[in-house]
Amino acid sequence: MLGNTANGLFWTYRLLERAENMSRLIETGQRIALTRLNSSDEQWLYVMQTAAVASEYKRYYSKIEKEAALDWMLKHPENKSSILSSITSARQNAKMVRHALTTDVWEAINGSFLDIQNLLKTKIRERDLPIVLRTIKQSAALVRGATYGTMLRNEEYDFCRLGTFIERADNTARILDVKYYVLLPSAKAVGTSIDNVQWETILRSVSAYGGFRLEYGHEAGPGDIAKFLILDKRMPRSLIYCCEILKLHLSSLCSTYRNKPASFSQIMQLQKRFLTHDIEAIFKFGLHDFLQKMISLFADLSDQIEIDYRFYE
Amino acid sequence: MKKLNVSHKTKYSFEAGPLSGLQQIKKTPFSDSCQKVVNWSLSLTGAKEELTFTDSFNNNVNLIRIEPGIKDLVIECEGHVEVTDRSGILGYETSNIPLWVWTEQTNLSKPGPGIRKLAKSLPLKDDISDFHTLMELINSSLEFQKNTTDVETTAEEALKKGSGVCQDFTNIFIACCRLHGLPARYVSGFLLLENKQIQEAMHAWAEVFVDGLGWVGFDTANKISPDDRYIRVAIGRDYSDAAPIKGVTLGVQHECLSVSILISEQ
Amino acid sequence: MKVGTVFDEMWADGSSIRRPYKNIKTWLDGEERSSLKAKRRDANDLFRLTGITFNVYGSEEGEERLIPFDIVPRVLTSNEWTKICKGLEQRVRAINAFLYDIYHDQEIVKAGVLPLEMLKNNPAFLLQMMGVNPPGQIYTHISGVDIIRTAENEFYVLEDNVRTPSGVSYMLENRETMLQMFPELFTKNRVQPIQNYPQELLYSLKHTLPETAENKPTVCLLTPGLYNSAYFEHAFLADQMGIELVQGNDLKVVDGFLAMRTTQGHRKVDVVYKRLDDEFLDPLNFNEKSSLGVPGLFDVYRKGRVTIANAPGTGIADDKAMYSFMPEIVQFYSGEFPLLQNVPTWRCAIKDQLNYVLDNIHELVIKRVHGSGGYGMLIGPTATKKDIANFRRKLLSTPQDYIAQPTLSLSTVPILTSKGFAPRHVDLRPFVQMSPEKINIVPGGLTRVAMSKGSLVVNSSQGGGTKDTWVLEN
Repeated sequence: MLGNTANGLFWTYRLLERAENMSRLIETGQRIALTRLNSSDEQWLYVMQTAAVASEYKRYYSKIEKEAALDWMLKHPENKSSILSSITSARQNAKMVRHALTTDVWEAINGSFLDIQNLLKTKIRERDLPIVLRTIKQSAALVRGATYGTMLRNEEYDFCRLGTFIERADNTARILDVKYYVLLPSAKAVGTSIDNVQWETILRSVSAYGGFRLEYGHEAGPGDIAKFLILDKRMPRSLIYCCEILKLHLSSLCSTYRNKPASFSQIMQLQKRFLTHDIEAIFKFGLHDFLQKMISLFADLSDQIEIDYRFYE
Repeated sequence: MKKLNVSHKTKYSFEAGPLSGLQQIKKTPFSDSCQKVVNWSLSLTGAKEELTFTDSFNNNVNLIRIEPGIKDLVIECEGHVEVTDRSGILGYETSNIPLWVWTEQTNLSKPGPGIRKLAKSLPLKDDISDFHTLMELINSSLEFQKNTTDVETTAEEALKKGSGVCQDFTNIFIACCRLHGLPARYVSGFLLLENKQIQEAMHAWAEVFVDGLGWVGFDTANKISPDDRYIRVAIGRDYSDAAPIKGVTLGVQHECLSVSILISEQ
Repeated sequence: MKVGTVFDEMWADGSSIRRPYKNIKTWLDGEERSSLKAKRRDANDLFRLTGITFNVYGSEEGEERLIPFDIVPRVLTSNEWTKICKGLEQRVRAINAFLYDIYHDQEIVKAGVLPLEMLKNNPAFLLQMMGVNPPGQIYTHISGVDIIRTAENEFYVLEDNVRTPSGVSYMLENRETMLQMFPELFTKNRVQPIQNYPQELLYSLKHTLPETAENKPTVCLLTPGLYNSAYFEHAFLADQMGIELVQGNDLKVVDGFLAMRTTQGHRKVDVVYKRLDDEFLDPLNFNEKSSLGVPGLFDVYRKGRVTIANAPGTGIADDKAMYSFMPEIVQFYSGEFPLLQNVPTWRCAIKDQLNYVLDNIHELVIKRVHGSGGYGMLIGPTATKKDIANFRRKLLSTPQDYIAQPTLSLSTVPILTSKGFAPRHVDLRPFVQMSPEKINIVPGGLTRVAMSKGSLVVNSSQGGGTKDTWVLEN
């Protein structure tokens, strides 16, 4: 298998995951705007910060406005992380590695791209938003399903999954980090200052609103949210879950190629050193520092995978 | 006959080493009717040899890869060649290249008004003395001067400028012969100088195909036909075919910090 | 050759249906027009979803277009096909022998059959190929020979494509689409299968190995990348053959051999199926500005350590000026008369012929010698005054760049238009594979069809479409 092919698969799935995460963030923003009486357009700043696209946005717009924010996140050509940019590059990458994908997967990706491109051709008004977001989510589900159902469980599959879960881990860590202060134990003590809308934003951004309530009950506090999204192995977007899956596929590559490159020891170290403690230890370490550390470790891991599997010359 | 020793060292120094580079080296002479290569070796520091092959002109080529990040690249050649003086007459030879190819002008030999005028003043055909006159003519219109031209200077440009080095003299000579429909080619090689002089560049001269004689050499810069002090190394339509070093990451001359060539008689 | 009358492959003289099309007629009569149109829409949607699109040169980066697909098959009888095949085999063998000769002793020039002027200053003649012995002495592993029909028994070769002929993926996908949409057609008609083309291609490539190849040779397809107009085909063929699709930056000269960068380091490559123009193949030996190629690749080739298919330098055999010598070329190397006719061609480089062309420009087709894809050509009878004036100027200033041919009445086959069935002009590009052991020609090939009424331009880059091509079993 070519290093370039591994590269293409990895990025196809990273970018698809990125597009899906962005659409989930937009949905969260929209939901909160509609259900909270005191919400303002400023809400969209939080959303964009979470998606790590706020500072770029400010270079093009002086004010936070809902319409501009939506356009920015959905399809603004200058935003490299907009949904349209991500899905376009994902499809370019897929096209490059077309021969390494099954027909079902390729058609799911290509079809999704064509649908979404078509939907985003015109200016998106608020009432169009649900259909756009639904299409994106369904497309993501379709690609995931086709991947799960038709791809051989070989090295190609490993690289697809590595891309998905590196992106997801990064996304979850960022979502937590943007609002880490509302999750600190001290925050609960302060009590009144915490608006539950912030928790809701976090949970909805990772599609975990219902799941969390179900598992942790109504008494649960902000610390539990941190625990759920960092250390709960049942939660498919938690850091530990991402870590487990990454470990699985890196170890599968090790057995395919009969070697243990640096990326494998990195993931083992990452888990052992940072994800075997309880949540209190993490708070002690400092939640923000911890999340920053995680973000940089996952980025290092991604770089190391590129080197180990010769993505580039 | 002369037995010549050649030692040829080229050294590049890089401030920040190149990422990677692939170069074709044409520094190894071949045996022919005038010369016999007794032994020859090429050694590399900072690079490794990928391949040796002969190109379509039958030149010996070493394809080398520069090691990433190195500070110095040194290419050293050493060998013995026995040369016979045949007054520059190489004669007929077997070649992959049909004669007509050598009658075609190239980018470097493409004539302008200056070359046309020069060529027209002589009836070049098969009288050897006419070619000697041509050498005289070129020599009187061109002063040998370094650093006034470079490897991309065309024959016409050099003539207009009125100065140049051996490759410019050669390009002009070739251009004139081709204007008369004669097959002419560029030769890059070594020349034995008096007093064991250290040379900074390889030499160049021309060869013309003359009916009845075959290939005959003319060193325009020195106004003589090659004798047993000349070692032929590579041929081509012009400099770019026979260039001693051609690479994808390095230019041809500019990075070259030092060349030292020593030719001596045994 | 009849000029002016049009031969329709379905209706011949206009009154009675030709035998090979009888079943097609019955089928079309039995189908609802609207359901056929719906099927055609389905087919287009399917093509778009599958990504069977091509990128248009000179258009915005990434613009992708569908090649219009018409559902009415083009049908050839087994006898017609056998005849064409014999002609193709003769022609392709001659072209391969010609290439060997041109890059060795040039006997054809010495014999006075081909004027030296055809090689001089010809950018398609690669001096670097002189003296190279390609593995198996094969230059043209794949040829696409464009054939037109003008009457019941008249077939002409219009063009030889031996650089990087494309279009075979459309041939395969068109059949696939027809099989899916109208399966019953294939039970009622005995159509010769074409699906094994990729396997045959792989066979050809694996049987022209360099001497250094080991037991399990590695073959790869070298593409210029995503933005090439035929990228879909490159990906498709690599997939179908089960070989790696590589770009220049995947390949490198390693330890004197060509190698591709895998996830586990470099692995030797034995055969490169090249879908890149020669000029861009190797910046060290050809265009130094090329970033698509592989530095040193040609040196490895010269050393005999890799096969390149088609060999570099094959372009000398398929430019439009060389085309006019093809009858002599075929005869010189095969010792036989050409079985397939050439279209009469005037070479504008020759004064008398140029004058004839200028005098008769309204009736001729003018083509660029080194052009392809239907770009930069003039069709006299339909051209505007301005176009003609423009071409006159071009012909006078650079006559050697042009050839002219009579405006041939390409045969027609019906297509489904929005107003019902209507005849449209077609040509045929069969694909010929060559290895030292055998020549293989996939039955049929790609039928290209001009979609607008009266148009003779079938090139996809100019809005031409395609049809499934049937060769019936006897």
